[in-house]
Amino acid sequence: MSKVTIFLGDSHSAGYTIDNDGRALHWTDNNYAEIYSSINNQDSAIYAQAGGCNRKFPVWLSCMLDRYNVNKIFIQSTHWNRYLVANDPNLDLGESYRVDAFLERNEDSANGLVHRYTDKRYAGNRYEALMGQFEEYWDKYKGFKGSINNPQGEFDILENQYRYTKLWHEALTHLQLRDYIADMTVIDHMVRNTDIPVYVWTINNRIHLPKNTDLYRGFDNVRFIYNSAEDFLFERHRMKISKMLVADNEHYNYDVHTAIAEKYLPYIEKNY
Amino acid sequence: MSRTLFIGDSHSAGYVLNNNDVAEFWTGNNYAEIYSDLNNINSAIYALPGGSNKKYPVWISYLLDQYSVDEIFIQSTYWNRSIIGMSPNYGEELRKDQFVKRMDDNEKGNVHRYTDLFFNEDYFELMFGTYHNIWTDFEGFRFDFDNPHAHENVYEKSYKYTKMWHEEFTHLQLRQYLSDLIVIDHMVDVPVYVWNINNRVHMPTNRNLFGKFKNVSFSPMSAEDFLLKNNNMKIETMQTDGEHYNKDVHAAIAEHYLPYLKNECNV
Repeated sequence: MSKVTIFLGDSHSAGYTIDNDGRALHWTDNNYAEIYSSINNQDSAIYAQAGGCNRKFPVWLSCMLDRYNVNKIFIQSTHWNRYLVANDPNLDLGESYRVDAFLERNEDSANGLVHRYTDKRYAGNRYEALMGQFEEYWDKYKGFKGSINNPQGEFDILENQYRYTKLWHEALTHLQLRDYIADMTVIDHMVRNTDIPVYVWTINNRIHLPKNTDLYRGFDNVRFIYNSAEDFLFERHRMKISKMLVADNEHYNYDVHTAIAEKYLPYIEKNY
Repeated sequence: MSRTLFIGDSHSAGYVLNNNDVAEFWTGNNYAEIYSDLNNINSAIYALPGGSNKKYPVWISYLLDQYSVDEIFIQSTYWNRSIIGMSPNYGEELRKDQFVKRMDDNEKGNVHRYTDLFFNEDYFELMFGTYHNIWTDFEGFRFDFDNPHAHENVYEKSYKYTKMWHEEFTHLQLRQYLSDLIVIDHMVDVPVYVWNINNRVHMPTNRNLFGKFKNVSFSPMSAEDFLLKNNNMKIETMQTDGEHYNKDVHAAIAEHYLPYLKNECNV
């Protein structure tokens, strides 16, 4: 088998669209990764899930590296207000967990070039869910009581609702940066001493891509692309992608996916 | 000149209770300092009461910027420890030394001691443990394929509850632990020995989620088991406060257990 290109991401990478009846569809051809594979006659594998985020990506990539001889990796970096919760009645601290426990292979693309993977929620009795701290779950910041003289004064944070403390004291802090850089470092480590480039890119400007990336002494293969698809397609091709959406006003239409495949990904490969 | 690094929690920070039941740190009750004396080496200790793997990558990254390092001992600690924080701007201005506090060196001067501040500038960070006194019993888990949002009641429960039952006590904690150690493996080109002081500290055997380690190796036996088997020491009866060990235990770890790790730990 020829070498395989890997794409990781969220619903934007999973062929999401809305049909005429307002129903959400996945793994349609509204997918930059599948268009890129067709244009370049490139075998590829996509591992994507609606709401996907960096906390999943090292596991997904590990599964892909176990299955394919890889030539390059595109990571669609996603929103930082996403995280994982799980339920694990085994209470064995993951001793019986396998890296591909939640992997679910979906139907290949019609031309057979693209293998599609996503995560199921249950693997045996083990459960894992992505959660997003969308606006409807937010609570306003309630202040912070810690002081040098009373270092446990802030322990009431532990009593607040999970969604509150998770948002204000993990997700919106430097702890999130450390997790993100750690996830990318694990990815870098898995392809170290290979010539496999890892391109980390963002689809629009609402997604934060950190510039403070040197906490763990840099990267060998991972490259961060600070020019988002939104900016690139506007600057170079006068496309205002925030106006080119399907009916849900969040996901992009086929013209945008085509432009990412034809213009943006080659630009990334050439310049990073 | 190269240094040996020691990373850990209160056991690595010279913790002891004095005769007035006051906790003291950076005393001679420290296997790392005894080991440095015995072997006449220079070393640096980065340790914090309640410390855990979630702190270790950034500590080691900082120390690697300061020193030429020839080996690293990591005292692996409890998995029910987590971090909460506060900071501006997603940490874009976070520095590796944001929380670093250098303490007095040991008397001889061959051991440099580091720990973490709680606050520095606009940044705050705190380790907390979901210890028994703040546990809440498991209240069940609702999931229904016909109602995929049913599980979201875990959002509404207290942070300490959901953190413990739906993060720490699951496979997510294993992924976090291995991720932290892979990051350490990635940063170094020297041997890293990961060990546990007693059998209450979980040491995973399921370790290949992200490929093989190149520098990090895991002890096949805790200090507790090793010292019972080889030195007939029952360290659980040799404590200062029901949790921390006395100087005889620290001396035995330095004299017998750490050399054993160097011989027996293989990547």
